[in-house]
Amino acid sequence: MVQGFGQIIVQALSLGSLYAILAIGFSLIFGSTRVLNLAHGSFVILAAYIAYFIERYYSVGFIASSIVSSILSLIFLPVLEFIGSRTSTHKESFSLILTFGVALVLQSFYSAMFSSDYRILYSNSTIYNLTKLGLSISSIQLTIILSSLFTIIFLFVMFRKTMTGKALRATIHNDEAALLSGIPVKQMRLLAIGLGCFATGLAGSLYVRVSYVHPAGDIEITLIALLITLFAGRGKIRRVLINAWLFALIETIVSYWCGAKWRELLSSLFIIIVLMGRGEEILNNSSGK
Amino acid sequence: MNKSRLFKLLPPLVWLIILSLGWIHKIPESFLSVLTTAFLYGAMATAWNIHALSGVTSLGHAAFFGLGAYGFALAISKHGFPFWTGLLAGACCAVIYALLWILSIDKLRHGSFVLATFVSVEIPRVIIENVETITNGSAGIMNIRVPNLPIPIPTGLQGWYVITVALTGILLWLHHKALFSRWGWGLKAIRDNERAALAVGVPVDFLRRLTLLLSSFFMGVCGGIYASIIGFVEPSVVFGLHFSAIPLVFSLFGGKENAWGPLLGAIILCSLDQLIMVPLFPEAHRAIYGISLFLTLWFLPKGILAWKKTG
Repeated sequence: MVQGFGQIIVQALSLGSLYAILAIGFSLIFGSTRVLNLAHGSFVILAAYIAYFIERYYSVGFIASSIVSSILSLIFLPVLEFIGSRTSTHKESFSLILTFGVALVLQSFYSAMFSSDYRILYSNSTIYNLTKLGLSISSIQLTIILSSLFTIIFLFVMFRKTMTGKALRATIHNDEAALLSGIPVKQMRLLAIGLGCFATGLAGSLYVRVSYVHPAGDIEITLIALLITLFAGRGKIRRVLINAWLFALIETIVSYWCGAKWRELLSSLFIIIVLMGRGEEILNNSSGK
Repeated sequence: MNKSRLFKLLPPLVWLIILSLGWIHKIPESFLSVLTTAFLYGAMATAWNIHALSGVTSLGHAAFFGLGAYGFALAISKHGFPFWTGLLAGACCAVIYALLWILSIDKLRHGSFVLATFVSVEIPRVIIENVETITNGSAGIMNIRVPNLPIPIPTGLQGWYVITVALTGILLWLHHKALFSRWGWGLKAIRDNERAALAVGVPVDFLRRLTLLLSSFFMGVCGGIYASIIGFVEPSVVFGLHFSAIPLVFSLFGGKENAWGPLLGAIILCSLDQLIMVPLFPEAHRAIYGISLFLTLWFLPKGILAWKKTG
């Protein structure tokens, strides 16, 4: 029983770490531009396809493919910057409709480019047995946990200890006040979007190792990123990781008891509950009102 | 007969002429197929817009469409219902889900409402995929055999054309009322300023809920008709992003505040899609809807009929 629960924790840690890395890009972009990016899942899917094809056809490892997909994910920077700059003068629904349109275009584009086949990167995963605890963890799970922790710690330290990070935090918290105190808000916004895109690229290269990637698989990713960001609030790096772990734990327990098929229902229900509870508060703050 | 009365009679007359095309046997099937799809999508866009006229934007009408399609498919295939009762059963499923919206997300506004509707499509999809004993899960329901209709209309594609045109006619009349009747003015007041509307005695909640129920009912009917034309339903298709997107795209493109706007948007974009995009880019033809959305929001925020005053 104890061992079974321990294994659930390991599974939840790995799943939660993946969710955190999926959500961190969304959270950074939402924080800096106020854009709730409904095309976030599509961005992750593109990064996943890039990682998939690079690893399959050039026989490179995880680090090389994740660097390439992260760099190539920066192509979304101008799109998001453009939408973000328009959002400041329009209602919040505008960015939702616009990014919804981006998701539609990208879904069609992926169908044409990559076909509707389901793709996943299988690799020989080593299983590490922690005999004293009676637990086991695969090398893929370990890679996901370490990558996620590294990204979150890097961002956390950057936000807390560097001048650029502090300026970035100020911009996320209140861009008008930041501008008045001499912070180059536009550059900070670009930096946040760039970091968000980079994290999205990394998320894609991890996602394709544990989950099937196909053109219409973006909604699930968007919903998870949305849920974790709504729970965490704007610019809260640590909370993204903690909420992702918590949500993954709940999801793993539900999968264990009710079957994995009902897992997808959770994120939708949670988002609606959050929106009913404090949706106006979160989104009104995000509009800078 | 004076001029204004003649002008009022013109739309129904045009409508009757369009409807009568369904009885002409010489019309090429490919042309009729495009028209049938355009009118079905036009009906969906008009139904969506009736709700949007109350000042909210929904990205979740695929839920009503999908429930309508599944309700119809189950009623016909598993319980042997007649066609019209099957359509009604599907529409009732959609209305029940709309009632759940009213009970849960009714108080949300702006971005929160848009997000909640976007997310709410996943709930019926996941449930339908998982209740395999009733719905066949993600495999969907195949071979939906529609019984003969007890009305004197042509069979096959011509019959579907007549049904979709007739449905669009009903929806256009309702849409016209939602723009120009007494309750239509109430909706306009809500769109312009909800608090002010409430202050002058407009029943804001009642009107918003009424439009949602009407909209969901007709979306459900459209889902049922779609299922009967295509002959199968699959959760990933009928609850897909596509069916949430097209009513929004067509309405914005045609003009939300014009009685004919959503239908015109559907006819133009659907024809472009079927006649140009599908032959040129068979896999990516749906990109036209996303691209039209950008172009409309950027260059024609009030739609292509914006030049025509709505009164």
